[in-house]
Amino acid sequence: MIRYSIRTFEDGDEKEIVELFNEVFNSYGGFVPRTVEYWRWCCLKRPDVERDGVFLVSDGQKLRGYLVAGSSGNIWEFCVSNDDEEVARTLLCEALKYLEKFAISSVNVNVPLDSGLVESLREVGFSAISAERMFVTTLSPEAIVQVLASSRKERLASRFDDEFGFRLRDVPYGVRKEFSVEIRSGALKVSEGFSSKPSVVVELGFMDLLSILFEGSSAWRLFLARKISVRPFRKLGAALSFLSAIRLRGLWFFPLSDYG
Amino acid sequence: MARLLAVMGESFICRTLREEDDEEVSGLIESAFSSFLRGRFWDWKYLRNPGFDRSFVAVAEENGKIVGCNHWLLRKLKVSDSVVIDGAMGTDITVRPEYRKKGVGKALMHFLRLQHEDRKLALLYMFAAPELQKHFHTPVGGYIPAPDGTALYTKILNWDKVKRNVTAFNERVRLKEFGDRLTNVDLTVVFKVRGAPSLCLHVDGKGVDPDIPAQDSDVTVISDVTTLGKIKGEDAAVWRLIRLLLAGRLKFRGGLRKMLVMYRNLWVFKEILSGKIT
Repeated sequence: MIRYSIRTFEDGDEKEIVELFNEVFNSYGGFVPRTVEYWRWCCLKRPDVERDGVFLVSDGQKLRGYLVAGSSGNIWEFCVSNDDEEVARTLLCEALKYLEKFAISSVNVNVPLDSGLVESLREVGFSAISAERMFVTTLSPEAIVQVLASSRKERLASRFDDEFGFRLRDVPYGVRKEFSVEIRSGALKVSEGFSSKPSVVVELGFMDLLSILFEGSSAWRLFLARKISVRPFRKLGAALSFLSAIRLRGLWFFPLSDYG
Repeated sequence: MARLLAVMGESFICRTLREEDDEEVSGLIESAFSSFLRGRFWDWKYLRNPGFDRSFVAVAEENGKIVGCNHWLLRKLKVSDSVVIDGAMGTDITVRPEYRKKGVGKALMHFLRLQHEDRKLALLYMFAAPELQKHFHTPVGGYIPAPDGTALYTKILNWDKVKRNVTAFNERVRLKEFGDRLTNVDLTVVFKVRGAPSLCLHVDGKGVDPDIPAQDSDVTVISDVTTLGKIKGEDAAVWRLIRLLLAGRLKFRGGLRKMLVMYRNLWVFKEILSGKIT
């Protein structure tokens, strides 16, 4: 059986805390990747956080979890390696004991929906409540497509040899309507406007593009709902496959410290 | 410049934040979000933020007075296990109450978009209540829900916020806002909410007393905060109540007569619990 010890924050702990955070939440999107500078600002220097409200649990060799509790009643960060229930309970009980000193009526904490820590939270009396939601948009469709397509460049280059010209309807204020994606001979180039005569022209609404990229809406379903048109028609499969290939997968988790 | 001017109203101008604006903007934010920002948070959130850039804060000014502001924070955001994007988080946007519904908020949003058009920000994100998003952020900024996989949990330590709601309710009773609806009521209800101390409310013609001992209750309601959140909303309907009862997430204990009295006076509990309770 592993023996855990708990203590409060000391100078120099930041590096290990940041490494643990980035490791534990690595499979999620939706948060700011931690650096020591960012963590110091979003947790340690936060007006309602004192050093004795930052708890760390280690197994004698390695940090296994930490929790940042603010006197406002928010647990700004709650991070546990491998969803270890004992570490989670130890941190939560210590935080609740600490927070009872303050005149607050409730304590809030957030975790990923699929987290194994939910049971530990319920055991110590937490219940799920509805919260504000996160919303996204872009100022530059070509920039978001550039980043997403670049991260899958090899796969795209092996499947496509085209220049897709995208024309967006109902763009919000300040957003350009056209961009093109050229995939030729293993190279990928995304640019504003149509650089030459594109081999495929895809027309769709701005919100529909976002909903494919972020919400996982099916490009095929939007086509059947007549929200996407492709010219020439024989390139329909290529255009819709391209959109499906670059969409984001996986859930987003935003810790309270990124939000508040 | 012509495009920048186009986002401004007839009586106000939009511009970026200057050092001399700090106190006024901080005060404006404090007045709008006092429940969670409490003033000192502005300095920390913006001035002491390692990524703070004044050009990402817009203010609307009329005759030298700041009437609204909009803040963005530049951030790197992880969007998948391997992709990190340069983006900005839209944070505190507010307009003085007397200047609302005049296009100031929309102009402030448009101003920052134009101001940073050349930066080609791949991602803008923000947090909002779904209602505000539907009526403001989506039509003005083209926002859609993120693939959110975050769950918020709460643990109630005491019922101070409910007691504040009771004080406000009793004031309305004193002003005869509810007529004689409470005249013949004499009912004590205990709420046993999982993970929280018991809450005992006595209702009679004078209003609600939240400070009585729990042992003499007529009706006991057993539930959890999640369920209470579902039934306290404006749209709470009888069928929803019945569904929660059938699912065993809401239980009532007590004599039939007193339970009928409670059913007839559910509006009292709805009034009290529909405000902030956590």
